[in-house]
Amino acid sequence: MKKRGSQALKPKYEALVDLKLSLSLYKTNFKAFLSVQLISVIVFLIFQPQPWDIVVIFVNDSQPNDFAWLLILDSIRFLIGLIVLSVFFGCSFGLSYDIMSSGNLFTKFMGLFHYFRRYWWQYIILFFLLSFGPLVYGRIISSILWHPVLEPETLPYNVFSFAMINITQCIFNLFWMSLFIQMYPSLTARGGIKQAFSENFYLLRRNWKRIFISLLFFFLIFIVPWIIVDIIEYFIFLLLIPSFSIFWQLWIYVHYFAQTTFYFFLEIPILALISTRIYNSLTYVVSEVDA
Amino acid sequence: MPKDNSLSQEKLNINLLPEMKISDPEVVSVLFHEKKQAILRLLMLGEKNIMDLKKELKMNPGTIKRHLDDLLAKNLVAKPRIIINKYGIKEKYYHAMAKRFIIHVEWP
Repeated sequence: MKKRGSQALKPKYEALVDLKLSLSLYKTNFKAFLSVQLISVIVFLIFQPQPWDIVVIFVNDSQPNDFAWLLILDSIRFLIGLIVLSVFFGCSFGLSYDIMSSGNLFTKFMGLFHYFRRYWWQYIILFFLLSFGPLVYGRIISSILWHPVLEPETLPYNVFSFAMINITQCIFNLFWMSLFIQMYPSLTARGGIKQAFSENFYLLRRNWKRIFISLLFFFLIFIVPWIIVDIIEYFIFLLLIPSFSIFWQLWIYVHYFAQTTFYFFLEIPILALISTRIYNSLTYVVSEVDA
Repeated sequence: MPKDNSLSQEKLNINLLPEMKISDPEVVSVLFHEKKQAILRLLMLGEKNIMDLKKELKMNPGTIKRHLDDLLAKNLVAKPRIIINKYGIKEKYYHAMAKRFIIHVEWP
């Protein structure tokens, strides 16, 4: 792969341009992104297991079997929510493609319906690919390191294992995402999942450093601070367990709300814009070489 | 939006027809639309993308796009020139077909 001539930047500088450009484009198109993500969150919440289901069972003096049914129904509902979420996740990449690759430099909320209709099943497969590795890794590392019994003598180990699980999970997610993230912009550009798959690995083989460094910057700015806060919080919670007050319970909700909001309304759109920008800059080099 | 400076020279070198006669009443009606006129006036001065037009006209980019599509369909605006700037972003640059439009309508 030929490097771009005088305009070529080192990967770390390209990564900075990715971030700067993505933030600036997000600013000019935030309405479309926010609307899409808002619908995504609402749909996801609708399909979440609802606390009043359990209340209904208690009130109606139900049979023990009803709990099993409730679990099954809730699992199905959660799965549907996740599937819808995965499609909306993919649609954000479609909107980013509108901004960066359609030539119009903007996107509209209505673009959501176009991408939803056209790529919904491909987005589900891609989301599964993107989440499969981290889920499996999370299960494995938790089964090895996690010690759920909170006894005074195991407390330091608990904090250590919590930190290790989170840190290694973050590193693994970064590697895993680097492997597959280019499939999203490639899918919109090529129109097929097979082509997207082969192009993703074609680009990855030749530009792994560029892709990895850009995502590393993204992780450092948008993901790592939350992990640090999580670890600190966990440490504090363990120390304060005897006096686990209503304040800390409320704090957990505030933290969860802030983190989720941040994830949906900022992380996903920025990730979509960054990966589209990486894709564009790399395919631009490819087309230059082909020419 | 950051732009590639190398484009500025190309933007000045576009060739517009000196004038264009319009006799189709449908095209005339498009030309008399206030917003489309404003867009066309700017595109007579030089190539512009939707974001440039948005800045100057303070209009929604989606609306500008819709007007541009109408102007394109009636051949009042030339097919856009697509470039990829140094940031890897595709940009469509539009310009008017002529520097002057002469309306000639006979009725009945």
